[in-house]
Amino acid sequence: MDRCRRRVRAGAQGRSGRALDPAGPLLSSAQAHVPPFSVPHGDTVAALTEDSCGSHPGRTVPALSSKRVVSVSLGSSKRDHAASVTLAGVEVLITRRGCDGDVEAAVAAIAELDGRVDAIGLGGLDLHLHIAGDDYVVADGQRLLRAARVTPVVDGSALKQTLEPMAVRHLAAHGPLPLRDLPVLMVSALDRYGMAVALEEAGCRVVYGDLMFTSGIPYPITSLAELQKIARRLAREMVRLPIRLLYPTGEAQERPPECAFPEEYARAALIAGDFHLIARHLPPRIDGKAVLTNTTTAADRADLAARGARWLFTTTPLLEGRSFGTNALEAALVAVLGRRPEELGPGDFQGVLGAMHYRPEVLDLQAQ
Amino acid sequence: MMPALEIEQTLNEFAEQFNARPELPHMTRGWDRTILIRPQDADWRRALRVQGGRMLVLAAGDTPTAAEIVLEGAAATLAAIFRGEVAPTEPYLDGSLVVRSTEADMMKLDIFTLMVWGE
Repeated sequence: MDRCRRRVRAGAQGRSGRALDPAGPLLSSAQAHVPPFSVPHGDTVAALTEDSCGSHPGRTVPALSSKRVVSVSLGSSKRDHAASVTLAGVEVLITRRGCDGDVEAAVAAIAELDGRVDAIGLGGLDLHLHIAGDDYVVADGQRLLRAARVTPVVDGSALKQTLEPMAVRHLAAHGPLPLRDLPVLMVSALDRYGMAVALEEAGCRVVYGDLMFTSGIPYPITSLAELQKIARRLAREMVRLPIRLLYPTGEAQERPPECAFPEEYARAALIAGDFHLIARHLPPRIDGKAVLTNTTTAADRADLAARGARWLFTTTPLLEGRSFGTNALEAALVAVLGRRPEELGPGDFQGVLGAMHYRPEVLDLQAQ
Repeated sequence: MMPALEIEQTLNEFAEQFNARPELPHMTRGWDRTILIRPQDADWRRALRVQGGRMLVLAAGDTPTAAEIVLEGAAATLAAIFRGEVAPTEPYLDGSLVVRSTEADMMKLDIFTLMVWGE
């Protein structure tokens, strides 16, 4: 059997059977969610090409082997979930394990899983921040990394650098919103610099909320150049601090929103970035707005819909009803590709995503 | 033991640099705070006041006994932080700088100090 088999799931049709034309103009509210490659258990998705798999002549792979990846997250354990997906003929069980903000518990979980799973994803923090060619090592992330000696550990940032710009470029090309001159609030950009660059390149008018939404400082950053200047002043020291000071972890993720800087939410037509940061300060009403994020649950989507949001774009696909963090998807790809994370570069992920015909999830929240 | 005059000069310079940064009046909008500098190895106390987006060094006789933010440590450590020789993060993490304030205020002061001296 070929290691990499191309089998495309029938059509681009939603669960209702109505096709969504990604190349069309604004979509009608009758059209609902179309998963680009959400895969119920047992189905096979568009597989990888030989090139992207890096397969070699004469090399054989078992017809079906299963992999297990676990995303260890600093987030709440109430959001734990599991899903099974088949990638390139390989069944991958993806499990999320939340540690409720407890870094020591996360270290222990990783040590326990080391050698027993095929890859580990880190959720809720990064190993590095990559900002305009500069690399900043996140201290708490490195502590978690050191807990595993055998199993590869990823934080999703390598995949994010490819996936998120691809998502933005797809939305720019295919809608449902025209991005040129669209006012955008990006709640934090330093942890997803690739998305920030892609939004700027798409012609969006972006306000970066890193200082506002992580530290309560009333200073909207209005250009990438300014973001880079501020990052150069702050990032090297900030990444040394405990993660709980920088990002909502554990119980902090479950608190009701404390609306902050409502004028920035009001100005924006698109709210982008990490969902926990978006949700933490969300105003009661965001009628007609779009949200670009990942890691949403059914409850998150229902909440956004209840607040009047129109569109939800998620950069990672829905699996078993939720979008897993990029770290979980990167871990799954590492497990399937069977290579160490340090051996993989943007080209590898581009190849994989291209072969999968990747596109972001587009959900009309008011059509549910 | 570091004399009070030396720390006063350091704080004056810090306040001057703070007030010269164009972003800081905006960043400190609505954040009026007194920062008390209390060395553990000297018998003097000094204070900074952020008010209306500007920083001033309080005269020795006007130093309060309490403040929203209190910084404690060796006088040399405190001076090094305000001279920009050491970022506040490191002494905070190793315990040689004690910050008595809310976490939110501590983070803001850290950021504002880095905006003065960072890079």
